[in-house]
Amino acid sequence: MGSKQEGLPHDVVMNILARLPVKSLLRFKCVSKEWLNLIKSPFFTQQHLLYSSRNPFLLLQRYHCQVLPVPFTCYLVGPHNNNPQITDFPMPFQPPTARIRIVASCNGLLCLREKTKFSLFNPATNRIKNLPVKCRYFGFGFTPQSNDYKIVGISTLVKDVPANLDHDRVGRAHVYSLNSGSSKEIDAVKLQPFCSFSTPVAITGNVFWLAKKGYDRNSDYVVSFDIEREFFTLLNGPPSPTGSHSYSKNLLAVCNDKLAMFHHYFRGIREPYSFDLWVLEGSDNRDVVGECWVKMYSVGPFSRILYPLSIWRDEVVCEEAVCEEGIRFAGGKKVVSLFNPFTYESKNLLAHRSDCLYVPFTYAESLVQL
Amino acid sequence: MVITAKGKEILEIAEEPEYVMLAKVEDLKMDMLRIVEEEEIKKIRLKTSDEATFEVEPSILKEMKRVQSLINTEAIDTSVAIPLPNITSRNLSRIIDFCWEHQYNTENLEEFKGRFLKSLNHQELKELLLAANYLNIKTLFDFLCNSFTDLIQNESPEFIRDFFNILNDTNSVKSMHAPAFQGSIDDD
Repeated sequence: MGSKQEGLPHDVVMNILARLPVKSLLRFKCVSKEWLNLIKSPFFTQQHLLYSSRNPFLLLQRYHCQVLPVPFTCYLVGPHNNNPQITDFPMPFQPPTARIRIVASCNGLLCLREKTKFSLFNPATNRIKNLPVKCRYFGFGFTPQSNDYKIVGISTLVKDVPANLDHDRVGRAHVYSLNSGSSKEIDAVKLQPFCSFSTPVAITGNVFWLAKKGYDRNSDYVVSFDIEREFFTLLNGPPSPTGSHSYSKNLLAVCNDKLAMFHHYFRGIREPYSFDLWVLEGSDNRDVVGECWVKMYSVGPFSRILYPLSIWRDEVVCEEAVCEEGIRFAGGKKVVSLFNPFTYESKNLLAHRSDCLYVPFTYAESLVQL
Repeated sequence: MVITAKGKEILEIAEEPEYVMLAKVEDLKMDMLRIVEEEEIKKIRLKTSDEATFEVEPSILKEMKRVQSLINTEAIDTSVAIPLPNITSRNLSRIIDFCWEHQYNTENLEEFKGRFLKSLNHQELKELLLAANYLNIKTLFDFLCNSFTDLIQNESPEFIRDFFNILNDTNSVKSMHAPAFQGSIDDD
């Protein structure tokens, strides 16, 4: 039973439902048993995510860099980038403490961190799950092979030892799997030369970090973690730009589901800024020996200060300092903008005081269960 | 006589007596005619449920993946109109309109889509969605699915049941909590 005559076939109905917002789907669970079972099914969750991630939102987390912590606030930008709509994105839960932050986003799940404690949160279904994970550096991602979400935690070798570069070295790693609900230690010998990791970037099947060695603060190494098979690999980064730069910084990003790296530099304090974007090609092909980094574009020099933060739908999410002539590093206003690297057009999203920090994530809502 | 290149052909025609040349010109005309005919044949005829026949040009036909696969795999005699027993002439003409606009209207496609949608009531929308699904036209199917989601996303479950002709069978879930009362109603 279920559908009378003239009703649409099951697969057509599923095609319509898979394009609905999660809020509507939760309301439509009580339409019929058939719909309830469909909406609950893992297959439908996957189908829905497929459509939802085609038009992802840009999630901007804002918090103050003050001594007294203030809970973060969030904004959603999107879904279309030609005329970006900015809406408040209230967290449906009251953060237990003001120190909690969003640190990663994957398939509609946000990874929350409070110092060394982690939890996963699905804002669309309003479900939260605390994880038995404690670590200094982390990575969060999805593996389609076993349809599992995993958190990899990286910690230092020696605990509770006064700060000393040598003791800051990492060398232990744990993996927590959402499917199994448990964590286990994995081999992390490859990580032992490193003592600091950047915020992670996840691409289906892999998590990437920029890692630094103890006394070699200026060079970055790319570390990759295979989420399915649970092992680390060291990759070569793209070649550094030629010439001497008084300032240069690397930043990982995702460009069309591939690992990308911004190289952001300027030659002197009064000199213009530039940045390049490199993309790691063929990382899915394991037969290729070595890394193939391709320079996608090189933009600048700019007379203004423009920091790339991430990529959202082919545009660069940037932070721009708005300041009076001559006072470049003085406190003032900052603007988060979308910069088109091909036309050099830039759209301002949010203006803020310089004591605020915006951290961008790509967010697509999902029914993924916790 | 073996003719290999076009230049040579003309050269040899010029050297030949007039009657041979005339015959060759006739041949050439026939060839051209055949080419034109071949193009005509590529236009496939489709016959709707109400016995109307449509001539559809290849670029539009390409969108109809189902008809394409019929022609390719079933080796259908394309001189006979392909019957589409579950599509009305009205819907087929709408479908052809949509595919045409989608291919050639680059400037105000969104405007066309808006007009297209406005001209349809809910029942017609459903019929068209089924037709697009049957013919496997991805662009139209996606467009209609998205239009459906816009229509229903803010509605109540009651509206949805009505809209999709779905029988409310969720009472039986409640009946677990109130078995005595529910049983007598359901049995009727």
